[in-house]
Amino acid sequence: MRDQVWRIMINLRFKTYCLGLLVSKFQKNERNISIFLAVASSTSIAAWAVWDVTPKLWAGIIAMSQIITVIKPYFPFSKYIKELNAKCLKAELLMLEFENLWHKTESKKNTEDETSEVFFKLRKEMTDVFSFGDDIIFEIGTSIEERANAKTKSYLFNNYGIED
Amino acid sequence: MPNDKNKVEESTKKYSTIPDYKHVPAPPKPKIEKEGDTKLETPK
Repeated sequence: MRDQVWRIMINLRFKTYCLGLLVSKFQKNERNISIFLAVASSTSIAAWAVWDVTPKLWAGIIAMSQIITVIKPYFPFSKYIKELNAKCLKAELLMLEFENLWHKTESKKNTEDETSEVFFKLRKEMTDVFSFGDDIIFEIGTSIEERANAKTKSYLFNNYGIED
Repeated sequence: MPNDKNKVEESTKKYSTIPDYKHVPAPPKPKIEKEGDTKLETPK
């Protein structure tokens, strides 16, 4: 049971980091699109004055902003951010409960039965947190995975003195 | 054919799931307190 608690806790730490990094990625995407649309709409009006200078560039910017405006509803980043952020917070709280369970297991404050009871309750909650509806589509890329790996390694070293 | 099916399953699994941590190290060794162990006192 001790090993199981440890493995699931470290796995949860990694998954929570992935979730946090995913939220940051969506936030950046959302911000960049909003900035582009704002700049495109304001500069396209201002560009009437310099229309003759680079007409193709301005036409391109306006066309691009129109395309983005049309396809934007199919990339509901703000909806993803809201839902994943809520899950991220739940995962962090779950992580605290796991750390508490690990501490009690280590200091022998819990009996084996008590540990297993709390452990399975937390595992159930973990399954719930990391289940995503069909309307949320994302992919954890190599970059996020590598950064989450590095953060988990740092967590292991800072909290338990474990170095790979 | 079974290989194709596996490929499809693998590619769909990739989306909307968070991978597991692949390098979980062994847990720290439990502290065992032996009888007769004396606590070190810091010199005054």
